[in-house]
Amino acid sequence: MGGWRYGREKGGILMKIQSQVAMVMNLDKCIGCHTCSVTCKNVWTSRKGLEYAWFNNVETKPGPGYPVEWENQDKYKGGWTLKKKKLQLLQGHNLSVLSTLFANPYLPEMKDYYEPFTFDFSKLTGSERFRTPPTARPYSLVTGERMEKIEYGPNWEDNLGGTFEARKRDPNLKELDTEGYEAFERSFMFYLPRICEHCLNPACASSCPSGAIYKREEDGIVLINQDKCRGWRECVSACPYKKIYFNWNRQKSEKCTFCYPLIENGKPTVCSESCVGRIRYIGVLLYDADKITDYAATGHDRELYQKQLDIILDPDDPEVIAKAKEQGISEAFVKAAQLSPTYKMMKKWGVAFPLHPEYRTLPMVWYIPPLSPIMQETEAQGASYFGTVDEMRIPVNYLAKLLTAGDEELIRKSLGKLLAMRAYMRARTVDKDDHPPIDTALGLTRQDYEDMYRYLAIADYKDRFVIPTSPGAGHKIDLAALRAGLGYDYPGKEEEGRNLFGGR
Amino acid sequence: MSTSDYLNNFFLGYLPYIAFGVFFAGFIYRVVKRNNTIQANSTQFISKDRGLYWGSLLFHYAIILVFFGHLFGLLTPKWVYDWFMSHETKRMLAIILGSLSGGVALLGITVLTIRRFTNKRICATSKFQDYFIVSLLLLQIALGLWSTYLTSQSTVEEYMSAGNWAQGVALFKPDSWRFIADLDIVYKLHIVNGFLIFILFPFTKLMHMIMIPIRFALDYFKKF
Repeated sequence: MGGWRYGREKGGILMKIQSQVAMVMNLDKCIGCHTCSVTCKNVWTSRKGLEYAWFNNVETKPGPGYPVEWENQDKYKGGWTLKKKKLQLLQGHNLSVLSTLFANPYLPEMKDYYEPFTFDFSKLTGSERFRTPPTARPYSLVTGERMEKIEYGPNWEDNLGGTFEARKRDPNLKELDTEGYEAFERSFMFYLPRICEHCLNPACASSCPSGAIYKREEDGIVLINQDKCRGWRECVSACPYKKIYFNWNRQKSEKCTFCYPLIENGKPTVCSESCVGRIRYIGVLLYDADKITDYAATGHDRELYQKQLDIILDPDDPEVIAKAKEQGISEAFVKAAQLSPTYKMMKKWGVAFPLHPEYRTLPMVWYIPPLSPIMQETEAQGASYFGTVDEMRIPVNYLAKLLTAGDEELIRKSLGKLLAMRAYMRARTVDKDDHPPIDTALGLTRQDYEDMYRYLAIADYKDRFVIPTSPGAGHKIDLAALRAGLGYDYPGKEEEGRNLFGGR
Repeated sequence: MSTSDYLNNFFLGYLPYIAFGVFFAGFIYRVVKRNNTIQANSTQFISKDRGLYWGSLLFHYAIILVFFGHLFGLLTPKWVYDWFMSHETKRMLAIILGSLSGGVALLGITVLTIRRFTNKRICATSKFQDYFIVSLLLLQIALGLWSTYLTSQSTVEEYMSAGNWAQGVALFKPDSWRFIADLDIVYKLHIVNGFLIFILFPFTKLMHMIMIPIRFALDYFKKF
């Protein structure tokens, strides 16, 4: 971990194999119930200073999101860019990052997330009899003053709430022709649950003047060392996904920890465990850490997806297995990588994509694009699946903006595979055809369709989560005691009171 | 020894040693025992206003110049600059650069003080030290600027006496206080308030300035 920022060892080994616990979310099945957000909130961020923070949030797309317009990098300068064919933070080189230390013009402020509030419930129980029912008015959790109006929230445009004009602030719509989208008949939406991407090339870590952010070698979880964080808040603007939150009370940055105390013990994260739609998958990937810097500096945005796939190694390749063991990766991790559901979806079937690969951070939480109803009646039976895909309500070009840096062909292919899997299983179960014909152009075998059905449709718990216990695990942790905390000691922890629900 | 001699002796002769004693002991305690509390206490996130932007930028950059100005003006021995600069030149330099950087710092800290005391969002997160330190700095910079004005009205000998005193104290010469015993009270208030800041330094948020990201800055030159 120490060597992460200040240059890795050069030469010697051709392949530096490391393991990453990655997540895939199947957007096709997300029902937008926010259970992941609420359980995450209860466990990690129900503390003073982080009332506004949602390590996991679910936003309705298209929409400006949380914080507002987080994808607008002209505003926030998150992620990387290429400068003379070399990777550089969009915020600039180290000295220009330092020049913003005293006042960071790109820092999102609380208003961009929302003013955290509570309601004056005592008005409801303690009031006299009135002809009109009493109302509980909102109060700011920062100043304690009454708020006239709640202006924004973590799911403000939930389920297409508000006008199209407001939703149009979504930066993904900027270069698209949105003519006619405001009409009810042509409106479309889907949910996008977001957590920290635990990137292979984290911009937050590179922007931290104190070197407090590190990526763990054993599972790739990106964490902030709270002892070393000095509150310079450069990471908040450098993260293109805006998944680092500034605790305004402690005045240090905090982020999604991928529930590492659970992961270390072989259990899924809180958001995954509680997911009602069973859309989340967690599995191990083996990757070649030596290639990260080169591949993240690939010339064209659209090549980044393929390059990122190339970094991920085949866990069944005997050479990879031998090298991994030689480099100290445990038997359990190699085995988990072979059974990994995320490897299958990302690399084997090619149905999942990284969120905004053009930010060049090589994110490790990927998404399967959602299918949507077909707008016009077409006879797609037996014909090309791609024709059907283009008739779907959610425009392919919008999904491509989100997931493939604009490469629509990749999205068409992925959605085509999902349709083909449905057609295959329909023939198997309804038509009782044991050997239905398959479209070889999609590059999948019968066994792949069977597996896709097992993983995507049935989505058994043991198939969704293949997590090896880390070598250090085994000692009992009182998980309830970790609730609503940072998960470790920090100054002032003891002085903090507990709230109504037992959290801090 | 007269009362005024006694006071001068104490505040200009002994206080420096008391202040630096507390400073170094406290410094070591803070760095070793409470290291993770050494941090910038930024309020930019809860109120990203123009007051912070200009106040903080102007104050911080100017105060860095002021710091180096004091280092050169007070603690640099004569032989270092005697061969290329007369005492009169040095005095003029001190007056011009001192009033410029001091003026900018005063502007910045004034904006920050007003912001600290009037912005409700900032008040919600402020502790006693936040109000106290910002007021102390405002007073100190104002006294410093006033001293610069007095220097512009006084002789070169009076100007050089401050350096003689500072270097005398640094070299443990017990009678150094006599160099500046006859100077205006404003200089002395600036000095005493300065030592008060040194005493408070290790126990407050002022400690954030020792966390200069040197390694991060050097990384710029070490392209890999």
